[in-house]
Amino acid sequence: MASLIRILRLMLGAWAVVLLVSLAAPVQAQQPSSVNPTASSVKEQQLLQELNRIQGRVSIPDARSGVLEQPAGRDWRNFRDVTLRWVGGIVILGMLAALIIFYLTRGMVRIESGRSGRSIVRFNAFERAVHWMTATCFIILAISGLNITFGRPLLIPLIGLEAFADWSQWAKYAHNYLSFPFTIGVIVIFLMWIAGNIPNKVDVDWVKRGGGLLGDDHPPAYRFNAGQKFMYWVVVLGGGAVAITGYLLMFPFYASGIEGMQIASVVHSIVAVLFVAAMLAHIYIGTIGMEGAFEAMGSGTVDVNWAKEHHSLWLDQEKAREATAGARSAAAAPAE
Amino acid sequence: MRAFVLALVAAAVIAVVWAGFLNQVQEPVSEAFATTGVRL
Repeated sequence: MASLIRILRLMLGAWAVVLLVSLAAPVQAQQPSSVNPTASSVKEQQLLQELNRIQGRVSIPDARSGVLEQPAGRDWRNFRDVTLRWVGGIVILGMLAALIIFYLTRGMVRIESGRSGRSIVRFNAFERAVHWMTATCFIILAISGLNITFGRPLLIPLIGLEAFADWSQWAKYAHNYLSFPFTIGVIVIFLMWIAGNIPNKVDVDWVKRGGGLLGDDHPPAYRFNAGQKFMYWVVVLGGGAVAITGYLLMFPFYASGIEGMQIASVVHSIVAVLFVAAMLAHIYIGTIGMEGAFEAMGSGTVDVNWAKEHHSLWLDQEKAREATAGARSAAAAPAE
Repeated sequence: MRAFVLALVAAAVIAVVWAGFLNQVQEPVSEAFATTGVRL
């Protein structure tokens, strides 16, 4: 009897255990097998699709840095990384190719009548100093600026990441610091040569006759011909545009928001690559493209025959001025 | 040649003055983007 009671007690205990386990099982089934704390958080792609921007809060003072991504920013990045590289590459390499082809077919424009051995002052020391200050600054600004656009794809494979980082840091310093002497140079050039660079009827004839670059024609011109006037306005207007947009970028958020800076960046880069292409043509015609042209900015004087062929109206003016000055000094001299 | 050297000297002097001005006006990143709670 006692053994029967023990067996019954054991069975009751086993049943109680089973009951407890069965009661506990549904509760256990409701608990997740593994915890995923980010399951309910929004994904980057969802944010982009719903808000078209990714924005949050930041603990640093600049609250604007909370905007991580926005539509205009993506457009700007695409312009900077793709469009600008194509446009800049085509414009600059296209100009280089055109100049090489022109040089190979036309060759150097010679002084047709040969050198006379007599020279005339074309640019004084102040004019040459301003020109060279602006020119040297421009060359460094152009190289350091092109590094921003083309440096990563072109230089990193050649010199490596560390050397590129060091070079880019110094290039950026040079770009910032030389911007101001360049701007001053552009302003002085504007004031110094504005009188001789207003377009007139002579320029129309000069352009119609191809500026004497094709064939042996020598259309008359005053101190600056139509081609030089074009370069002058490229420097003044292009230089002004890159200076203004450059200072907007140099002082972020002083004068505009992020959208204004993106526009400034686009204008700055487009004008800059066109400026570089135009200056390649200017350097070409001032050096290997035309005999005797470099002397104007080198020593400041040009051969009289050069002046007669390329700036005949200016030479006439200079001769008339000399004659007037000579007559005045003769009249002022005391009679013996 | 003298005009060219003069141009380089002028550019260097103006650039140094401008660099001094920029360094006065613009804060370095470690200051501009830092607070007592966040230091970069």
